[in-house]
Amino acid sequence: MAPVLTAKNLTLRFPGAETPTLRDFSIEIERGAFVALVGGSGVGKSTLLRAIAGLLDPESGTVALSSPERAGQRRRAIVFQDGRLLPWRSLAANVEYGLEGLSLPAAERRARIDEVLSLTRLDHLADRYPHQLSGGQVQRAGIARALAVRPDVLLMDEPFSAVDALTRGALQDELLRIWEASGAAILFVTHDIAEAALMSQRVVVLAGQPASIVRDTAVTLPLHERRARPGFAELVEDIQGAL
Amino acid sequence: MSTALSSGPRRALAGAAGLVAFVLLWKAAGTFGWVNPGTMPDPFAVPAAAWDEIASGRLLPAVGSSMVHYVWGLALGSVLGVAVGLAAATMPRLDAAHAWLARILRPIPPLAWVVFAIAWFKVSHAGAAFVISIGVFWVNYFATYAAVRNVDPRFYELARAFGHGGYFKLNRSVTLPAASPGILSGLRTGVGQAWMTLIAAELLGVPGMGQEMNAAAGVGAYEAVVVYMLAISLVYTLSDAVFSFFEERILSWRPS
Ligand SMILES: Nc1ncnc2c1ncn2[C@@H]1O[C@H](COP(=O)(O)OP(=O)(O)O)[C@@H](O)[C@H]1O
Ligand SMILES: [Mg+2]
Repeated sequence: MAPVLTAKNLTLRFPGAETPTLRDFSIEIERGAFVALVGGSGVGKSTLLRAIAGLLDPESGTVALSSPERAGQRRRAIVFQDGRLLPWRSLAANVEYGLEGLSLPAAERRARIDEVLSLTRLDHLADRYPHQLSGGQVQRAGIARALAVRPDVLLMDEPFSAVDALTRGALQDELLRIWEASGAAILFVTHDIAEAALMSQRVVVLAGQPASIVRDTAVTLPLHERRARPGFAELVEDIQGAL
Repeated sequence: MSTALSSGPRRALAGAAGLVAFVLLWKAAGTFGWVNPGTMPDPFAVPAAAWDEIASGRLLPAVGSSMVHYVWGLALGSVLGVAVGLAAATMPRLDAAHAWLARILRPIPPLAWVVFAIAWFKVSHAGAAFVISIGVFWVNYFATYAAVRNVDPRFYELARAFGHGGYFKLNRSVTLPAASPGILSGLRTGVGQAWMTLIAAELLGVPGMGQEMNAAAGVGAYEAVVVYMLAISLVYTLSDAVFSFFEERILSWRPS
């Protein structure tokens, strides 16, 4: 399938660091795909994601998207590990914050907010302030804010790592449902191999310094109830082995 | 564990008892001559003195006159303090260029400027407002500067991620709201700071509570002095209550 996003030969070094975090790093994300990016702590997953998001400028290399930006859209949208809601804005106003960078008529804005809040099942909490939300609700709000800009690629940096196990399972199911409904590609960073194997169509394993892809595996198991499928445990073990 | 004294009528009772004890002690100090005879105002004579000041038409005009330079000095010092603090904290070049100047000017007490207040503004509301504004300025300048510097940089990354750029837009959508608790607490300190300098600023001869107090002290009417002291306390308490009313509403998004 045609890539929706292509990162080519990215090299990025933090000031003062001996080795670059990324050197000549390339990756393609297929349109609509769910790609998991796994790797140990400090290997450079967040750095790569930020470079792909355009939040960090690489020394060299390019990040290109295959289709031109449509009016009222951002092609890339990011979901942060910490949720990152603005505490002085209500949930709905936080979702709106994502839209304020686009020039949209007020009615369209309103409609999009309603749409993503209902997609993430947050409609009943629209007027709450962030401190009145649970950790899981904060993460869903971050996802809603990102979806509202109708991205081609959703970049997610360990979005569920700070929530409890029970909430996490529910959020994983919900994200899969949202992914299927939205049609956006997702690049999902996690340090949890089981989570990667459970959710994605493709698992990319990063290791080393500078970081490189040490394994790139397609996951062909059917999406739902994967844990119970034969072959799941082997897949997790296989990925584990690459690390 | 909260004690019985932490709230409710018992606490009010304790507060009243403390007040009564203080007044009695004060009365005793005069009665038993613990200080120079004739210099200790009689607390029991204060209500009559207050009525006197009101009836003679001195108190209310004095309050009104003080409020004129209070409000102007407070407004000027607050606006400039917040504006300069914000600008210095967000513009590295300005920050560097003004650092030495701020360090030199900052330690000068507002009252030292009285000389120039008289020279430039004569004896006028403007002169008193000028002196008051200086203390208020520094309070707000430092509070705003620190609050803006402490804004979580992750909010700026978020702004970038969603295409929010532009100096003024970023100030409005991120910097000011994020720094608002610190800025508001500076403004509130300024409301008090302005009262601290007000009386002294009026010593340059501008009519107001400070001047009336000075006049009363000159003729040994110490009860009247107390009346003006209490009037200042009352007006301060009211202005602080009004301020905290708005502060609470503006910061309603914060966890309590
Ligand atoms: N702002 C920064 N300045 C300097 N070094 C950084 C910065 N951010 C990350 N690093 C370093 O880059 C490496 C990769 O970090 P990161 O991408 O956050 O890893 P991961 O997300 O995989 O845990 C680490 O060694 C980290 O210390
Ligand atoms: Mg990370």
